[in-house]
Amino acid sequence: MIATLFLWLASALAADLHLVVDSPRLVVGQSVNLNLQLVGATASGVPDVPASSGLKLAFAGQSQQMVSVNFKTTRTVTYSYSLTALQEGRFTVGPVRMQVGGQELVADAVTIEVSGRAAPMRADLDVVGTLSDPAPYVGEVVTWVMRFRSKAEVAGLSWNPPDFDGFLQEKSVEVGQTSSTVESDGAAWQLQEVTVPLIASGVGAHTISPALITVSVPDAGRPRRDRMGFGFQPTRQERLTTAAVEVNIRPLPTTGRPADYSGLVGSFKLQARANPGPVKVGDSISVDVVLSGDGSLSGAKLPAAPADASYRVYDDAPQIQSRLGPDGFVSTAIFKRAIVPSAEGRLTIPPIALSVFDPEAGAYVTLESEPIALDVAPGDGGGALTSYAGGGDQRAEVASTGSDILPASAEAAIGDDRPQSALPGALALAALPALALVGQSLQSLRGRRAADPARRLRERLAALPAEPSARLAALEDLTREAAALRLGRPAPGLDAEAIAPLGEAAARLYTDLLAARYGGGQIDDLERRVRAFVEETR
Amino acid sequence: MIALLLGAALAASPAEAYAEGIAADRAGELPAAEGHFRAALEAGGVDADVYLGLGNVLYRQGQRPAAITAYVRGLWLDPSHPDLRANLDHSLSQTADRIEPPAPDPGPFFWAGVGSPRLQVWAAGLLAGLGLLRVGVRRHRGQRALDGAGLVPFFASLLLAVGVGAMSAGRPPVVVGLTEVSVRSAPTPGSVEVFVLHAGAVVAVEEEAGGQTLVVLPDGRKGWLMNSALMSADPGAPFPAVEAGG
Repeated sequence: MIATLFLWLASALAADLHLVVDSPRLVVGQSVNLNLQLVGATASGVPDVPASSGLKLAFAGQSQQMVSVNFKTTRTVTYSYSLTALQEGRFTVGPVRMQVGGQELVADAVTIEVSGRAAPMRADLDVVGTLSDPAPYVGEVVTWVMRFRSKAEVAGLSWNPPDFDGFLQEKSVEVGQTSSTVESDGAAWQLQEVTVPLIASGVGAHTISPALITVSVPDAGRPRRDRMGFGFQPTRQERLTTAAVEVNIRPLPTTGRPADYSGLVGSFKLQARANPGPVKVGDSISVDVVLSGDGSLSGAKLPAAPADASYRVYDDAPQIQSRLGPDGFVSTAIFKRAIVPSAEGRLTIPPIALSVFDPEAGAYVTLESEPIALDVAPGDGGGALTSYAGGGDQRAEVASTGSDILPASAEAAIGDDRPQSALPGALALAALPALALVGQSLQSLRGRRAADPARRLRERLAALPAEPSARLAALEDLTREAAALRLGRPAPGLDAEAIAPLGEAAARLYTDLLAARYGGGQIDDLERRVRAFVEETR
Repeated sequence: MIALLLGAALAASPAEAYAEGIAADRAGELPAAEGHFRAALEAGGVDADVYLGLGNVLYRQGQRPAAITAYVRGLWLDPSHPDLRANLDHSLSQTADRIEPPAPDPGPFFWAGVGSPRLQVWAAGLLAGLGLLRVGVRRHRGQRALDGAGLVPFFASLLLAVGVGAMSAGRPPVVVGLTEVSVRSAPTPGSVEVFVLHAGAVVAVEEEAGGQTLVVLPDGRKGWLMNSALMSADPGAPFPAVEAGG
């Protein structure tokens, strides 16, 4: 218990809290990182960092780092914020107080000096930020335009966008950037414009903070460097800011709001056109419904067909295209609507009515397309669709069956799926032909061994009869057959003359054998000579 | 429960135990179904479908880490099983840690990861057998036994066998079974906590020592944690017992 208390005290004593800002001197519109570092402890939640009214803080994330030095590990939790200077003056961030393990940690306040809008050091640079409508209705699309003019040649232009408080950026189109040259005061100015489409989202007063522009301009006050024959014009960084823009976002009026209000805000046009051509009952005809205007069309839907319509309607997801033109933001949605007539004769598709809020008129308006008339011929079946069950889209969402996992199959063949379990069978599969091959080889070997006449002669030589006359007869037969084998001739037809080509020794052996057998000649070394003759036979 | 498990264990064959598990599952008797699927495994039915059935039963009983373990084991046996993959992905989407589970790594033998390793072993044996059969036929006809074309089935068989061998040599991952577990810098008491894993996280194993396992996250972070906090995804190992609701 005491040890635990000691450890707790030690950890609490080691804990520390710091506020660290990248730069304490800012210009209006500039944003820098501000980090709150909690060393040697952890805490839940995001700490509240107080800041003066001329600054704006936005939490950007949290990270954690473990550092081990001399077997002692220290954990540092860093809470990151984006600090933006909104107005000129001297401001403070903090102090920050956190309760960690029953102890209050305090991070000292930091002072931020914000200088006024950075007036260009040169009269040939200028930047302006404007909003197309400083009092938009909520949901209305407006554009914030930054115009940067320079008479001098500039390079490395970069900009920090302002904080569009109260607005969401319209994502259907990229931020527009253009470059051009304009004449003003008898001089040519390079003009660069950045256009950001925004959707007003928060009713009430808001401030769009200044944007900060950084460019490199030639520094005429410093001499050109002239080394190695090259002349480089020294440059200097200029930082300029736009003015903050005060905005009042108005709510949509509640009076006069139609029950079928679509939620769209903008000045729109609605057109419907059917692809010409004959149509039969049951066939589909495509109708293109085009909705275009200066408002956001994200999530736009067409109203459903009347319930008593004598046709069915199937809508595809609309194709939405947006662009930033000279007049600002323009968006177009093309709805592909398939219409399937269910009765022959004259079919008039009534106008499509869409209720929107028009900011220019300050009122709700109902857009209507032109009606479409069709002559419907009988279908291939000769008449009206018998399966027709009313208008509108009859389809429903895919219903959940209540089980979110795929079931196991009752028909699965169960075995042992481990690869080693298949090894015996696979080896057997390979071994069967291998065994057959071995058998085939053995059989072939046996066949060769059985057909080898020289081998048979040697086997007979090893089993000669003991009785002298029979032994002598066997020796003669063996000699004759060995000679026949060597000569490649049948043995019965051989005589001394026929054996002569085998050499003098063979001929004398044969003569001596005949003499011994029929004339009582000596047989002492005959058996040895016959054995040698047979052994040499292949 | 003991009677159920005992009864399931007395099932005659893995196929029968599996069929009984499916029937019990469809009847909503989840503990009985779990017992039958476990019995199928113990009877030698180390099969991807058995692990699918067991994982589903565990999932429906709320035992998500054990269900994930079963799915990972099944996929280790058959990486191309689509239902196992779908159920594993769905189960992992409910876990706290966004970690991609490690898959069997065939290394350069990429084809080994396509189908069931067991089928590939059979295919290797069949190819070798066909190659030998061809040799025999050519010898019988008095032709040269082994020509260039005759080497193809042996080569293919060898590639399949080596690929399966490379797959099988990989160490199966582990699944965190506890709600939250600290992963430490060393398997010693003085080590520091480097990160925290939560139930159902599937992580690769690099080393085991002294009752602790060194695990590796996909981003390269490593740390040690107690074996008792983990469930092995080795499909051949006995399936760990789990407590209800765990």
